[in-house]
Amino acid sequence: MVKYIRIAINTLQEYFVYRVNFFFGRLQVFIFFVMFFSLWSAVSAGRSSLGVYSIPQIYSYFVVGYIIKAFVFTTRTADIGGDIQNGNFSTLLIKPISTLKYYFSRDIIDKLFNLFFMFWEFILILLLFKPELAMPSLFNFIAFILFLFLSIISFFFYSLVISFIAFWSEDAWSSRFLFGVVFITIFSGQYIPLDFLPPVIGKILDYTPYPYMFYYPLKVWLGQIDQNMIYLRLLNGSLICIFFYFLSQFMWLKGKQKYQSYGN
Amino acid sequence: MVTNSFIKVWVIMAKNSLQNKLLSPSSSIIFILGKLFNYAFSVLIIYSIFNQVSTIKNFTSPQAIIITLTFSLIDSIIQFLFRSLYTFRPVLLKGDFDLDLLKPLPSFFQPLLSGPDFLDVPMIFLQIIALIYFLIKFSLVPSVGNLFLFLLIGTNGIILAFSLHLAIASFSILTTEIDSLVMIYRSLGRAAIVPTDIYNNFFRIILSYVIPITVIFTLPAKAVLNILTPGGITYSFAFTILFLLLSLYFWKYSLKHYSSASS
Repeated sequence: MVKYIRIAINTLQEYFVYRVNFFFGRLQVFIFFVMFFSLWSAVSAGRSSLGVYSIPQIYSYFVVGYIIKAFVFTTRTADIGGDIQNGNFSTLLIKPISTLKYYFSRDIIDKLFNLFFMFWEFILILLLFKPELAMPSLFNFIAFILFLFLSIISFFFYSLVISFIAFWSEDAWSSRFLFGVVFITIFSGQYIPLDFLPPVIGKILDYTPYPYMFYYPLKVWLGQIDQNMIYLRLLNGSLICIFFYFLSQFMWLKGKQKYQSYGN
Repeated sequence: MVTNSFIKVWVIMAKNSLQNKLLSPSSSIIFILGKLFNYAFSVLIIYSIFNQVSTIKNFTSPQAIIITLTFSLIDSIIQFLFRSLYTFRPVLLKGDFDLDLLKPLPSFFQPLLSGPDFLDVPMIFLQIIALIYFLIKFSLVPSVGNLFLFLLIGTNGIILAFSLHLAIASFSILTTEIDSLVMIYRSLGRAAIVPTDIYNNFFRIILSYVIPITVIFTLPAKAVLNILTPGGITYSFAFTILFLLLSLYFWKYSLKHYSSASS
């Protein structure tokens, strides 16, 4: 346990070495929020509702979404693909530590560090934009927390799966770009609530894991999913979690056998 | 003469870059697929937003879609031309930039122009075809004059994008930290997926006067739509000249303070 705490501390120290980069990284996330918040403010100006959303609900979608993004999509598992391809992975394999626990330790500290900054950014958002927010009932809040927990675990294993593709491919970044950036941002509903898209696309996305990582937790917060459906979605979310857990374990076992290290 | 040899070197570098991409066809296909999804969904998102409201600040759905298509086209051209900035940091950290400075090329050649991204080329063709298709579909075909103005303002926008990329490269020489700064530019640039006029005052001022994304993306689109004012044209050229001069000055300043990673 002590060695993994040490790994986490070392990861934290890395952030302090590249302070400007980290600051700009957070600034980029903040700008992304400001852009979408401004866009939807313009869209909702002079209107009392947009589709099934009241204006406070639309604001909440993006403001609470900002919190979800910090909890769910901050990760260091994206480093694995690069480490496999540049050979750094070999040094990890010969160390007396569990490789997956090594990345998990880094992941935890990455989330905590980002959450610390997100907290202050969130206060800044409330002060700057003074958004009128829709608050959930106690039941929905508890369900939201459960969804959030499932989203974090699902995304962790999903991200591992993407990184492990590097065992078989020539380039780690291409699969990360398609599955970890494009699909996640578009299909999870970060740009637009998914029920604004044509219904056929919404139905197709229902069979994918993406809405469970961002869209459904928000729908629960907004009270737009009835109680029975919440249980069903939670069950689906849990199954997705289990699926990616086993897939990642399978790929890890097979990938290690396939792994070849180059270098001098 | 100097320009000719400069173009020759660029073509050689471009060929190398293309060969590099062809070495890993599967990952190139995945990248293109990702770009394709991004592009298609950008248009779909704008279409879906305008399904909820008929106009936003006087912009209609067809106008907004043309602006999105123009944004994507210009963005792809910029990505194609200046992609090497994304790989400049390792060059700086390893000290290889010293060798580039010794070459009889403009000092900004390596960070900005040495690695055009050919994965953007299929997208550029597709985006041109889609833009023409939707202009015809919406009966918004520009006159020859507007088309000429679009090319002029578009080229001007690309020169301004060059200036911004040069400023980022200059900053990276001073700090060796570049990745997130590029992503900030990308995030701000993405704001031009819709006409920047629709944003609130504060954000619009940033996009117009601080990081002039409006000049790069929105004004060329307005030229196509024949809604660009003479004031907009003047502002476009004035800002480009100002930013180009400032970024060249900043570049020279950063080179004076450059210390090799190996020294």
